[in-house]
Amino acid sequence: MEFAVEVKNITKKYERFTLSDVSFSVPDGCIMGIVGENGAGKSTLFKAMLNLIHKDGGEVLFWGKPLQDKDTALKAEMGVAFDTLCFPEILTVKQVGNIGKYTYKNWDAARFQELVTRFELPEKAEVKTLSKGMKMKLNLAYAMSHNAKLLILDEPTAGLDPIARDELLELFLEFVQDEQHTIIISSHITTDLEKVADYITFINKGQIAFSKEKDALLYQYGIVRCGEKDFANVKNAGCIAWRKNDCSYEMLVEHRDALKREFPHLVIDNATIDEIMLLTVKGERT
Amino acid sequence: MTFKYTYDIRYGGEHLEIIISTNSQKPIYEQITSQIKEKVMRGELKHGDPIPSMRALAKMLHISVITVQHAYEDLQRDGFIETTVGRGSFISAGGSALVQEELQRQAEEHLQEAAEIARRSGITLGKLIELLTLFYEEDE
Amino acid sequence: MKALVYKDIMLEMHELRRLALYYLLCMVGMPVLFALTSDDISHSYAMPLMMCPVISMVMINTTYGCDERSEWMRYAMTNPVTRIQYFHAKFLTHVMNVLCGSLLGFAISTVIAIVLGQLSAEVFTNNLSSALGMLCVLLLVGLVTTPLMLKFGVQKGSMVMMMTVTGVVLLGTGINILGESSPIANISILVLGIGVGVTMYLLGRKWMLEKEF
Repeated sequence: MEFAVEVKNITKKYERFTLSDVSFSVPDGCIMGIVGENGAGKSTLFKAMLNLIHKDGGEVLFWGKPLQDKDTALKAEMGVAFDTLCFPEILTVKQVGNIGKYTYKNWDAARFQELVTRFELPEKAEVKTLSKGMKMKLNLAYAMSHNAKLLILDEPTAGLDPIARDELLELFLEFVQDEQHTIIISSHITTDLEKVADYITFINKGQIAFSKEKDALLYQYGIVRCGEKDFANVKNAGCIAWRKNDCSYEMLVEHRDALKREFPHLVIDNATIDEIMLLTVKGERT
Repeated sequence: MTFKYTYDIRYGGEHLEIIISTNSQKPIYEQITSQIKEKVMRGELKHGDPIPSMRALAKMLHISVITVQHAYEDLQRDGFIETTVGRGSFISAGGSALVQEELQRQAEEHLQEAAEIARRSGITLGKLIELLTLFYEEDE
Repeated sequence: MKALVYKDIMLEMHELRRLALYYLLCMVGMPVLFALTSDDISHSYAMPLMMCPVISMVMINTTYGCDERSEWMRYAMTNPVTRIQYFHAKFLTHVMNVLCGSLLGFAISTVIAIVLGQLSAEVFTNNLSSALGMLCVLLLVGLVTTPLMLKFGVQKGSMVMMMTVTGVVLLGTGINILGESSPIANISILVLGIGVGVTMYLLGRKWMLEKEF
């Protein structure tokens, strides 16, 4: 398997927060979703990957090569979008396009125009007059108009209405039609990732809790709701985390089908990404 | 909430409809697999018919590529489709043979049931064969 | 780098359009006022030589402000731009500003001198050397302020810039007085200037490479 991005043992220490020993790999041609609560380290991770901050340890490889500040050729293969549009607000859409033209050797003006038209972004409009959704669309139009092979998106759908989000998801799926194209996207809106992500990496308190195929998470993980009697059995039979509620125990298990066969009377529900995250963060670990 | 997606995929002139329910107990890749198998069984998809590439189908259904890949891998393993690099995915002949097998098995099941009912109720074998011949020739 | 300079120029153009009247007043209106009210008429055509480049130079502040508000630098680093290129581009914008300002100042000054019937070879040469002198001084100022603005941001940086400009003006006046009296003073000031310039440039490089976003 070819990897677009390999994150190896990234460590970054701040006064009140540490990103420790973060490792995961992103295969070519996939959509990797990064989830985690606020302050878990998603943005720090992205900054570390993009050399915006200096790492205390570890390395990041893009198609096998480390990214250095002076490696502009490698930077040109990526398109980045943060949760807010970073172009000065008095620039117009057209001027943003010009910046792209002067920045990238591989700038595709036709593609940029096509996306601007598709998103109905007025060319002469100043960035500050655009709605949040339109700003993000402009951001993506810019990121996708220079033949980038990798998109790194930090919360691109945050604060957008469902229609705008759906349009963006459509755009992402279009982008990965090419097998050489990869997307790394962090989001709070786990339902979006449940739809389109191929893999999910969960960061919790600066560490990787898991990095798995999304289908494995949704179709193999389960939430057992049971009483005191079954609690011990389930705990020893592959429970990852559990929580005691007023009336019952909630237990996250990794192989729900096997557990169902072993204990047919148990109530085992499908697990959503939200629930997996919740139990992993709030629950007791076994 | 249940969302039913019906995608009308015009592909090579053929009309391919895949309905996925995001609220079903059945994983999405299984839904895709069973629907394609059903279509082959019903004759809607025949040997040589093209089906969308994995990525194209993922985009059309708004789901992840790996989910579709899983479905296509299962279909390939079960002999229903063939994927060639550069040419795409097609319904394979093997599928039709399996369909044959499956239908024969179903016929056998029904015949067995009929035989048991006949035995219990005293219907003779001759009468049974007569009825079968009648039914078989009825629609010709 | 071209993109960065283009972006800065677009921002400055926008600012210029917004404050066109104000700039016109400063660069042309004030000298005219001086000409009409002052005893020493030479001040009126000396003024633009100083005001125009300085005003042009200060226009770069608006770009720093816009950049900071939109977190542009962080984003620019994810484009095929190196940190040092970013630094150089900012300085290049400064240079272009100051060049235009000096040229404009010289032009306005000459026109005013002509209008006042004061134009002579001496005045012309004086004006030219003043314009060139101002240019050199402000280039040095740029070498000092660009790293400081990039390191400390607009709020603190602007203050530093103000202080630097004041300091340079005082220095310039000092040079004017001293320079006429001693070539050694001239040379040592020149050497000092180059030393400061080079130091600040190297410091600027270091700060840019260390910067965390």
